[in-house]
Amino acid sequence: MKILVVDDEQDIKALFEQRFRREIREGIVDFAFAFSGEQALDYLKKNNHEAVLILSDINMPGMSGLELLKSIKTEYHTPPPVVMMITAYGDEENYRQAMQLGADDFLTKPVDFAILKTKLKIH
Amino acid sequence: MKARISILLVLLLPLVAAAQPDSLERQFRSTPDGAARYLLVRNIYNYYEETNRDSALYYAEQGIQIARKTGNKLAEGYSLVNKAYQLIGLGRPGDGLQCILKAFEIAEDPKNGNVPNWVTALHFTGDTRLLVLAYAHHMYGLLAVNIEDPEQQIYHFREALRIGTQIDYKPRMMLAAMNLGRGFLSVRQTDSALYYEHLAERIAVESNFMKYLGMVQLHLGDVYQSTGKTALANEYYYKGVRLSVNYSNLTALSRNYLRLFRYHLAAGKKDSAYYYAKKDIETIHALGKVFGPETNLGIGYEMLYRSYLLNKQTDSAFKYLQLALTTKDSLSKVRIKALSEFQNLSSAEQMRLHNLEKERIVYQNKVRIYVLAASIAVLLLLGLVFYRTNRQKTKARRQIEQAYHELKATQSQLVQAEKMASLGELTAGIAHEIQNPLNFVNNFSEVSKELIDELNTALDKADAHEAKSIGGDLKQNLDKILHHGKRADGIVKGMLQHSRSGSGQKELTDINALADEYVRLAYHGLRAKDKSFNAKIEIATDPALEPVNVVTQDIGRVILNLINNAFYAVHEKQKLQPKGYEPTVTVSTKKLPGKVEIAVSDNGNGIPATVVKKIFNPFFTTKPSGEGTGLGLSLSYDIVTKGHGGELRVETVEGEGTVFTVGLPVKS
Repeated sequence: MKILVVDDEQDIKALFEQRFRREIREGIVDFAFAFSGEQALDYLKKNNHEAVLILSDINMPGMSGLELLKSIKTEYHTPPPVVMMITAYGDEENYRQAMQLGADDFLTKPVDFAILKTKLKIH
Repeated sequence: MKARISILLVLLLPLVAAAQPDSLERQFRSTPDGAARYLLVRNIYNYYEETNRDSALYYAEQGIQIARKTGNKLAEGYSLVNKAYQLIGLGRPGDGLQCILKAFEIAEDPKNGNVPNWVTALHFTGDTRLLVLAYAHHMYGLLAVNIEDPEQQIYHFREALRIGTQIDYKPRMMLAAMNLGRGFLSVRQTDSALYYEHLAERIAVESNFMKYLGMVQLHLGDVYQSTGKTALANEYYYKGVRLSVNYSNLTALSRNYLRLFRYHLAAGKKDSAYYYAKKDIETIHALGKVFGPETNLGIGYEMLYRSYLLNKQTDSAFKYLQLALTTKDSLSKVRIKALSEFQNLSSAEQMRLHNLEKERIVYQNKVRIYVLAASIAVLLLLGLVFYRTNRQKTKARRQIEQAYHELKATQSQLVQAEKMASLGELTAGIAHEIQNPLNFVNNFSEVSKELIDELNTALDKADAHEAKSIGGDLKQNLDKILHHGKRADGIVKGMLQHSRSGSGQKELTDINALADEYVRLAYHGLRAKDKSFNAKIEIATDPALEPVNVVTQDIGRVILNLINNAFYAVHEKQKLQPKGYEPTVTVSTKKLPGKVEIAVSDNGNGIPATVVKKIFNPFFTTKPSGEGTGLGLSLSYDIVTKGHGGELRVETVEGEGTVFTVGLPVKS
């Protein structure tokens, strides 16, 4: 399962690689990282629907997570990738907008990796 | 007149007076004004006092003139009373009263007491002013006798006796007592009358003041006559005649003659009656015009008429009857006129005099009070004007000072408010900025725990390669934890620095890092306020930039403010034209010779030329009310120019954008 993680924080890469250390080793998941909305779209173009799941932060300089979501949901119809948005705690406005734009699921910062793993096994 | 007086004196009176009036009068004419001249006048007056009223009146007037010229008030008062006595005797009680009132005015004022005593014999050492006062009372009493007012007689003679006793001046005491006796007789208090007449007689004999002893005998005779003791009364009258002749008192003599004539007439003793009538009329003639109720020519003529009638000499009787009638008629007319005049005087004139005096004093006081009041009013007015002016000045100054202090306080409050406002704008950004490193700290800690479990498993399996790999990851994680911990720490410190007010020390600061930090803070702050907002941020820092000595939080604040403004500008433009506009804010740094520049540019609407001049003014803002303090650029300008000796300039093109450039000098 190919997962694209979008966050402007560089260290998110190291964190995910460690958190999913076993899963990565066992070949259950494969992570790709983008550090901005623009990079994420670039990646999606280049790798043509490779990613089945996109995990994106919202607050990023330049293109925001919501813009990315909108772009994905309007440009990639079949099959639409699953987009899971990571929102800050209590950020109702972003949650609502993300829902409108067709976000498939939500995670709240700080990310609880146990919950994320459970969700990933369902999908 | 003088010749006739001399003849009469020779004929009738064995003179007691040592000095001859002629020689005294010669001396008087050749003596200059002064004490000696006044004493001469006094002696001459005393000579004429009871012997010739016209002459006595003349010398009393002379005494007044001398006293006035020499300023001896008491002498003037004394002579005024002398004059009054003569005026009363001449049937002019009104004029007499005026003199008495003047004398009272003098004698009642203690200020007038400080003059040499010219009015009594030298052995008198008492208060001369009181002596004159007693004399004035005495004269008022005599006036009351003349107008037949017993109440006033008793009052004034009592006063005269009281004051005379106080100063122990025998003649005054004697005369007061004598007249007081007559006053009591007129109200039929014969015991009191006898008491005072005997007192008068005793004082007279003891002090050898014999001039009025004849009068005392007359009064005693009258007292006994009133109680029907005619024989005893006659004894006193005879004694009175003798003493009056001996001590040259024609008034007393005349009255004693009148009493004896009446007695002999009533007793039908025609020769004796004629004799006393003749004697009386001679005496009255000698005394001069006499208009008193008891002593006047009319009575004399009547006496003669009755004597001739008794002697059956009808021609002569008729002649004197005619004389008596005409004289009495004219005398009555004169007397009535005088009395009516006096009545007017005693009521109206006396009142007038007193009122005049009172009015004068009241007027003077009024004038004084008015002048004083006017002066005080003017002073008060001036004082009030000065006070008000001063108070207004003080008040104005105080108000200005207060306003100034308030302004100062408000200014510093506003400065603080501006800081807090920008801090508020930052809070959301700060929360976001702090959230991420904390998440990393937590996550890397958690994952490290798991790694340790895995490490133990690897060690159990003796998989050294795996254990080493895990160990490397652990070390990396700990570095990450440390890094993010420090990052959060830096954010918190930056926030505290930002909110801290004032006097930061200058320190070497990495301007590039500072710019980066505040760009992020500003961006997240703005995003927190408006989720729909997004902008492209370009950071173009010059790597050649070396640390600059600045007050870090102040320059940070300037950068933040400029970035906030830039975001605001592009956001506004975005609202107006959402399509095809890419809001872009660029922050760049550049190293130049002797200085560094920080430029914040936006592609917003730019600033109109009319506004651009004002943007550095305090409280100037284009933001809707409540959104901006209008102090941001003003404070930034102060920080850069005053605080760091740098420059803050603006370049703007309407519709295209604005560039703010901060230039900071660098010491090489």
